[in-house]
Amino acid sequence: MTTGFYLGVDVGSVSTNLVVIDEKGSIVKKIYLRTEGKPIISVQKGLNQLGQDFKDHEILGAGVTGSGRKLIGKVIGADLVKNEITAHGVAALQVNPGVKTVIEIGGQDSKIIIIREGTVVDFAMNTVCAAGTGSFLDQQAKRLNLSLEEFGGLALRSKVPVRIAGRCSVFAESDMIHKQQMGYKLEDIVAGLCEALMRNYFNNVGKGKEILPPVLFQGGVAANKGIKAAFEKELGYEIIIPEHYEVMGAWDAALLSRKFGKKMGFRGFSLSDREIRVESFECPDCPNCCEIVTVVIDGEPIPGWGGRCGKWEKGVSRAIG
Amino acid sequence: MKVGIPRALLYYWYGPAWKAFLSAAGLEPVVSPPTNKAIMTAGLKAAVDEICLPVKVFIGHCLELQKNCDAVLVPRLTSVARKEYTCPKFMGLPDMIRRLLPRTPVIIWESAGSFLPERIWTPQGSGMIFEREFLTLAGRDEVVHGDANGNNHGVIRGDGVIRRRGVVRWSGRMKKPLAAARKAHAVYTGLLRRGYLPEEAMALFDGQQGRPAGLRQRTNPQTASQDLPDAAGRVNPERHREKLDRVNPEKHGEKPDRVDTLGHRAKPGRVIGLVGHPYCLYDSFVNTGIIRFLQEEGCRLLTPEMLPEDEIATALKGLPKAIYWTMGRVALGASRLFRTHACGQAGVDGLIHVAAFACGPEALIGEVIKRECSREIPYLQIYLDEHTGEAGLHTRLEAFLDLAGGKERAGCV
Repeated sequence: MTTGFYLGVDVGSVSTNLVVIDEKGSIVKKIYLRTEGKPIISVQKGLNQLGQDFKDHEILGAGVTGSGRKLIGKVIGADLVKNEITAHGVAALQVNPGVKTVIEIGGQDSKIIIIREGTVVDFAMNTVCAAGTGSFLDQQAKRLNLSLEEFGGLALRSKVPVRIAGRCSVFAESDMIHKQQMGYKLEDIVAGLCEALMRNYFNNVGKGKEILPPVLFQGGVAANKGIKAAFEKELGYEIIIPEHYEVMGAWDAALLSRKFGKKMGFRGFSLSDREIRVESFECPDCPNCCEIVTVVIDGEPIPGWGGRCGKWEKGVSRAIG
Repeated sequence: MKVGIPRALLYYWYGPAWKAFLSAAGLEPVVSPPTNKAIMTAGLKAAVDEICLPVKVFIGHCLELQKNCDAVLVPRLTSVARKEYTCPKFMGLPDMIRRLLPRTPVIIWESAGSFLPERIWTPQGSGMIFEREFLTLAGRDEVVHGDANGNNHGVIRGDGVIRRRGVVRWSGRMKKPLAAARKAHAVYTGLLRRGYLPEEAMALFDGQQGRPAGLRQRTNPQTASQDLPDAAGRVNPERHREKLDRVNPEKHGEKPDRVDTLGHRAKPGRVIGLVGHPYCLYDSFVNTGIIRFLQEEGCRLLTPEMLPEDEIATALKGLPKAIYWTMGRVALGASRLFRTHACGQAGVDGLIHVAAFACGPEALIGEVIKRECSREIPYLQIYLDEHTGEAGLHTRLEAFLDLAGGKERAGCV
């Protein structure tokens, strides 16, 4: 008997996640890849891996979320493109229907989602600056030559975390280097950094929000035990890290496509073997000089976007050399 | 003589008045084109780093206008209402501009306590040509350069025109252009109160049929002309009511058959209140098209400009201290009205506050609005800076609309 599956893709700044769910909504397979600035290639890689397992099964719907959702939605032919804020709230409710607060820290974004009685009632997202998000932790771990797992474990060993300026990641970095040169223990510095990130989160994103348990912590940064500990220390109770914390957005996209998708657009796993080029150019037709992006799949262009007037979206195509 | 008017800052409040004033004074007003990338880039390059984006954009518009205008009108609107102020940057605006436009005279429209000018003048050294022509055209005054001692900046005597150190005070002859400005302002604000967005109202005011894309939703060209006052300056009260009713979809039986991204049938015309300084709300390049985005999502929009001043004043009664920033006061008053009742609505479904990133007063007012909204209606604050990427903004707006759509929409699997 062939059963149908649904595909969810979350294209973030740091990671690209793909999940396949069955008709009941549980995750059958998940893939976590680094985006490395090449969203299309990482999605192709992911589709290739999934294709090996699901080639013979029918994909009934595909949903996309994350900051690269528009691009990837066009490329894979998604049935549903959803913003990542709503997405994370919905997935959290699937895990824990009683959840009241969701903390989500990803590569470039950090968010708080307030849920009451199963409904998203409020949210906040970091402003233009990405201080205190995954990218910063990544960078510092690399600088100290630690993997993220070591980083978290080291932070847990600290007894006296040092105070690190958390408002700006540039300040934090110079503060860290200074403390290092003063001779503080690495574990105390790392723990101090986790606390700085947590403080920054509460001051910036969580400002004025009523944070009530149960609290779900998801997104790539949830893998870092030091951050989890810092949050628990501040809140005074345990926070829950869901099993699929790193692919919650993708899971949600799949869930939503299961429920609402039009179930027709997905271009199939064979997309990974096709040549996908992205062309961008400045539209010369008015002084706005919009940067137009078009995707060409095996030499066949699909309508572009990025313009303010909307004509490129309507499928005006330009001769592409 | 062509006098440029920058389509920036308080142009969205006073543009028609400035245009009418210049026309009545016998000059040719030229409004700069809507902000585009070239204008913004020029402004960013020329401006000092610390000022806010809207002022940088204003500078870009002035640089654009100097290409084909004989002079540029720059307002110094220190205060447009009694015991209130606009913004400290507005005070220094003409001085910033005249250093940046060495060859084009700057006409300074200076106001204190009312938007109407207390005086209009051109700084020494840059405005001589303009002044002679302007005075001649406006008042047919005799203009004498140089005083008895041969100083360049001497007294100019005319029929009631007294000039001291570059300052021209209005003579009786200036009554006509001032009256024209006052009348244009009354008609224009009347249109705004009737629910037109500034671009629509100005197009209507100018009698143009072509309206900018994205802003034509609520204007019906067949009936719009009835919204203009008759020869005696009276507006049709019936039309007034009808226009506002259009904001209220149930009365007209409109049921937009839309399905949103979650597959729900969109509630007919979610009503979203937008507050913020006019140049943040209405410059669609600076705010990457918030209004267009919301309209395409099927929202009905209410903005502070649609509210009568006395209602705003009433809404603000009981504040522990009067707000002396005019635009902040309007934003807070409007947010209170939108929350409870305004324009025939029993409260909006959500409120969006749009502010420039470096704006000091807005940082405070925004916090007050946020606290008042919390737990009552969904509230979103958007800070504008030099970003042209729409993705981040659209992510927030989309999630906000999910929130403002009510329980059945927000968190269901």
